[in-house]
Amino acid sequence: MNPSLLARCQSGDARAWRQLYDLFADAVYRWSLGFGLDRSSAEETTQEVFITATKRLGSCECDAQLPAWLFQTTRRHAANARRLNWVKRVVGWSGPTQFDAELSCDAAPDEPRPELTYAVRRALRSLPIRLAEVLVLHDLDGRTREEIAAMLAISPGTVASRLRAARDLFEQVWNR
Amino acid sequence: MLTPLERARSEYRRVALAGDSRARILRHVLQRTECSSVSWSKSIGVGFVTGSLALGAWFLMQRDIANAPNRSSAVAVLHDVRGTVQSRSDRGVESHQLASEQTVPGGTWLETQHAASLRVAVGPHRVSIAEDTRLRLERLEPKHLGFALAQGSAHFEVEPLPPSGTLVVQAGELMVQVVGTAFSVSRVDDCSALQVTKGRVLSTFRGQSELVGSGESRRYCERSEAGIEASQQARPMPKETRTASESSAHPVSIPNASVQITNADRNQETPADLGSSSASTPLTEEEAGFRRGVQALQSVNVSLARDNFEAYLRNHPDGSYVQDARFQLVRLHYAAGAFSQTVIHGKRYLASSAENDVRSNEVRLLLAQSLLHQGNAVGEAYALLAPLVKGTVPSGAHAEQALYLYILAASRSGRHEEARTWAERYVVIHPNGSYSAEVRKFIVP
Repeated sequence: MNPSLLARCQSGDARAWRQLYDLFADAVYRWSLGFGLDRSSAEETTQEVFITATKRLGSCECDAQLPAWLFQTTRRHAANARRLNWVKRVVGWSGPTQFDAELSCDAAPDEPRPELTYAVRRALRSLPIRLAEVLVLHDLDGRTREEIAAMLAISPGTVASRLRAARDLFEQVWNR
Repeated sequence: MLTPLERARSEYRRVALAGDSRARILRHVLQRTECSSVSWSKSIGVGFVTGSLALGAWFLMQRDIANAPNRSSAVAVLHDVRGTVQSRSDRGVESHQLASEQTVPGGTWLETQHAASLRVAVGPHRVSIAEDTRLRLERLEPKHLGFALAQGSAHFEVEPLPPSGTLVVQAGELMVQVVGTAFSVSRVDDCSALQVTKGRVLSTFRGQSELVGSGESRRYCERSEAGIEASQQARPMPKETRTASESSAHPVSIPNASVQITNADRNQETPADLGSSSASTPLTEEEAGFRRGVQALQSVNVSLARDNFEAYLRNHPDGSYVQDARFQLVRLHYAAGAFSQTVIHGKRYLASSAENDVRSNEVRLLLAQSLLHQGNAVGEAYALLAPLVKGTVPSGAHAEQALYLYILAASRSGRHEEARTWAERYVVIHPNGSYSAEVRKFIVP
């Protein structure tokens, strides 16, 4: 990673922003999906995360912290999106969600874009955010417990216990 | 055979942003950064010139805003337009089909047909409009946003507003004023419904205001006599608690506070007939001791009243009027600026007071003010005030004062973010409050 990427972004260099986006856009999108969002909400969350970055990237201290900073921002926006989706379902004033629309497309053999299947999304969506984040970073992203502990500012022991709980819950929902 | 987690992992790793979405998001991000894309070396030189121009423009704009308060100076951007969505201006009857990424000015009506919906971005705020809805973008100004809902449903996600900023939604006679939150308003016939999902809003209906908090909903019907027809999951508004001393107004001002014992205290409520000199039955020694304090208070002889009440407490530590004497001593010591004595008597009073004691709120306030004056127990003052402000809507004569003190205590105890949040609420709840000038200092941009 270019060591001056953060500084160049903070100075408003458009090329640096493009580079940052190329580096992390897919990761942010995947994290959003990992939190159980549907495709439309995940795209929206990705956009919100980068727009937040344009306003508040100054609070990130160095390039090495960028993934953690982006992950925490994604987590906040994804939590908001999950809450909003839940309210919409409960209040019932919106029509069928994109999530439901995608559900009906799961069986389509010529799915144009690779997406998470409904069963995976349902299981991920059922996890509380604090468990989902550990599962996403460890089991899906392939990061180590120490890396995750540093990213989330929690102890490795907490990561391990949350991971165990997340896996159990994931399996339970899957088999339900 | 893959385990569920292995299957999730294999799917997860195949996922990537689609090309069109990737380009669209990048375009939005770069739009946000392009104003700062000039390199530092150039920007220093250019900055001076543009800064001067901007300052001049700002002065002109302020003058224009003052002269034309209803003028719109921002636009709304439409997203995710689905189905038939039309705009209609006030001037003409013609309507136009709208599309995503289109901008619309203030004063425009947005109308969605059956099975249509859209999202509207106004600065950092978002409005989701459901089907069969008519919403007018009433006022789009940098600091002041206004919407009028004629029919249907709209969900508002509001980012924290700038200092002295407002966002108001009008639905019939219902007016919802926002502090920084997410909520839905819907309107069917003559009924308006409000559902708050995050934060709090100030709802006003037929001149009556109330704070509606997260998870609460209200339904207001204009044909109904009562107005508020139904309320789901709603916390009841606390009844206004009037203390004995509220009826005899004694000004308490902050931060140079003083309880002024005035002629109004001649009407001080007293237990039984002790305050009356025409008591027909002979008084016991205890009653006479308390009566001396009351009579001194009625004659506005503060020091004598204090001495008499203290003498009563010394001589009758388990007497019937101990709490009354303590209450008066809290007020008298505070009025005399004896904060340590106020704290001592205030704590004793609260330790012995009943749960529904109407005077305890006033004692809490005076105790908290004394602690703040002393400056060495700010955390204790914060803890005392928290129950007055949090969880319930502050009401009664001391509500504004309690809120201000709470903000002060939160700030002094290092809870700056909390102080800022409550300061923003104070400005909304008490737009012309006595402490507005002080409170605004806690709202930093």
